[in-house]
Amino acid sequence: MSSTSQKHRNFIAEPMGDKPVTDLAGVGGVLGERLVTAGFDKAYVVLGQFLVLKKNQELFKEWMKDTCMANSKQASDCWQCLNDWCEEFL
Amino acid sequence: MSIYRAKTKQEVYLTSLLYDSIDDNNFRAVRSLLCEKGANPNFIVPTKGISPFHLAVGIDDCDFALKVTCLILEFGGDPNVRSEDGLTPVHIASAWNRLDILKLLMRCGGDAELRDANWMTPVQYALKENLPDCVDLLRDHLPDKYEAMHEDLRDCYQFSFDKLLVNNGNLIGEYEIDEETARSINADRPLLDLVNQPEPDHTKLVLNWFETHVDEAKVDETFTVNRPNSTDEDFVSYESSADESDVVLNPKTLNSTIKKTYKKKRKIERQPNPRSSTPQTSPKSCMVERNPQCSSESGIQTLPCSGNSLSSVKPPETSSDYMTCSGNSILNQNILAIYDASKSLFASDESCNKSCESYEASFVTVSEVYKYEDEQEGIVLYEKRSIDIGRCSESVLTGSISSKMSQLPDRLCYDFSALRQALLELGYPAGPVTSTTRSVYLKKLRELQSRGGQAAVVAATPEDVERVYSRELRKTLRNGDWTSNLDHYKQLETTMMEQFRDPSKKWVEGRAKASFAYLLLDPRKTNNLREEADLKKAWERFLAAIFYVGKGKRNRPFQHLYEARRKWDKPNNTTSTEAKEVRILDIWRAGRGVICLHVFQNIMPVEAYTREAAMISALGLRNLSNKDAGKYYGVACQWSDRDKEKLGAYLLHKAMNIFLNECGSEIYPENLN
Repeated sequence: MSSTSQKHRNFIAEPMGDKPVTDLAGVGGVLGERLVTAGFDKAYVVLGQFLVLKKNQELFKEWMKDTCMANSKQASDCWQCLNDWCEEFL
Repeated sequence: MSIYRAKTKQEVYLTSLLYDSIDDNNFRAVRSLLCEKGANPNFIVPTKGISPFHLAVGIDDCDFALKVTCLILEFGGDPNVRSEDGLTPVHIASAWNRLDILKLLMRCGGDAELRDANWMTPVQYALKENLPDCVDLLRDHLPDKYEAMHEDLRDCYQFSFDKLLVNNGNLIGEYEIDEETARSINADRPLLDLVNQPEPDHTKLVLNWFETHVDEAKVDETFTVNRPNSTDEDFVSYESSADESDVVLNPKTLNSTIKKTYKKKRKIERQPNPRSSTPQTSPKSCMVERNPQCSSESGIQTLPCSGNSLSSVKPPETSSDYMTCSGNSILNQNILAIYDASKSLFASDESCNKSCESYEASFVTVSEVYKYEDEQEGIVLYEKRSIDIGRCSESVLTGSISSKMSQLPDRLCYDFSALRQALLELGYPAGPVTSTTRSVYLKKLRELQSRGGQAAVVAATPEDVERVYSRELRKTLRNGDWTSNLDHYKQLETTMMEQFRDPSKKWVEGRAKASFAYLLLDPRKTNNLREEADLKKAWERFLAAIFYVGKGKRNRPFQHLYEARRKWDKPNNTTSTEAKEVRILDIWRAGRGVICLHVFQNIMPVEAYTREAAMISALGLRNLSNKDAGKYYGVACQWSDRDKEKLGAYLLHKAMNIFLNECGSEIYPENLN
């Protein structure tokens, strides 16, 4: 299992509050902008989507690919990030 | 993102020295470090989070800053180097109103559009600080970039019509673009722009072709009438290779369907790449005009045929190698040639005489193959568009609509509740279908339907799915030497145990120390675990083998086995609903026995419950055949999930050590009486 990024650790270290969507692991500037365009401007909106998809990795990754053309790695990172955050704070 | 980090101690040292020299405004030292020692100004200084370059741009003394920036740029400074916060020297120069430096940076390739960790560009910083000069300077560099990007986009791929496929079930006619024709056509239209070309022209062309074929009487008229709309006005000469010499048939499949593969070559296309064509126009176009009636070129390829033993049969009426026709008649000629050829082939093949009659003109599919070529990325995409001939005679418009991309899923008509219902019927635990989740679920549905609903069955058997343990347990799996420091874990266990020693407290199920916890293991997973040298792997395998965690007294664990044994004795009634019985029976059927590992002997019931619950938490209930997650007693109730998982991981680790020292005897059905 690979270790997680600094961004990942930062994100799951605290409640997400009003953090922008770019704070999610796997979501950088480009994906962030696409997500904002699609209406997902905050990390918590993406969390909502994540929860609506029942934390299902496959579906969430598919959704990421559809919505912001994320690649597989980015989508997995983002899923992992939200999943770990939920384990911690939900 | 260009974050540079030093790789060797030497580099770190030099960069740190450079940083300190800049900090001290010591120009001589800076120069000697850069020029003589080769210090890299782009490396991030570990404790500071920025590179010497960042510091140089932002240092108080403006003259010194300018001098050092010049020097750094000269010695490999990257104006877009990132700090740990994503800041570049351009950001800093903008925010601090260092105009001279900013000019220098921009001239050396500084990017005014990079965003830092706060998603801010240098321009935004300048605006925020109210620095109009900086803003102007930065803006001056933006439009260039925009145009450059636009240029890239325009050049990024070439789009061309590649070939036309005609398939009547038995024969496939493939019409390709002839290089020369393509080039000459290009030459005629030097300034042709891809963007301005109405795309469905090819479609029209093909449809026209079919109109002519379906209604042979008014062939020529229809074609010429419709054509002016298309941009293919320069279709003066068509080259055709109506050569039937490459017909192949497989004698072994005489009584079944015959597959004959046929290749025709004809050029209907132009290559809309204005750049390559512009220079030499006239000579080539002349060539077209003067194109001889017959070209001796032989460029026939044979499509791969599915049969192994192929004999090549020459049809009776083999025409000359290539027929070059001009004007519209070629369209007729070609399609008729296919018919003729197929008929003659059928005639020559006695067993197929009957199917000859059933073969009717209406049964032809036509598809266009388009080619997208991206030279930069080295990618070539082929897009095949099928044209619905059934409708082609109605109008060109409907025809081009029916040639839409590939097959759009007909299930796009599912509404939210119908989609969810369909997924549930296939056994997929779909969540709410909303406008944002719909497309994902549609894909899932299509996937499930194409797999015939097998996915649901697969998902229901957890053994094959990769187990995802709790977070703490995953950590231990990631970090092989977590066992080197177990103090925290031991502390948790001691705290948990101590509370149960207080004699004044009363506990559920009494204080009798007759209980223990136990694990049921699958020997197919533990196989020779003791010989596994790698502790990390052993740990993984041990965890994977556990399928039940329990608490009990006396021979409680055997009750599971007895229950399973009863089912075992009545094999016709094996529809056991309990996951753990299913697993036990499965192990027995594989010729193995269940391993029952008793751990933590002689403890109070509440403590056993707590230990059981901790281990279940660590493993994750979904990975086990347990029904309940277990119950914590005493202080452990108030622990965070992480502490509970930690305790569980530690207990499991102890259990593994016990297992490694035990004999791991397997219990077979015959051992139960």
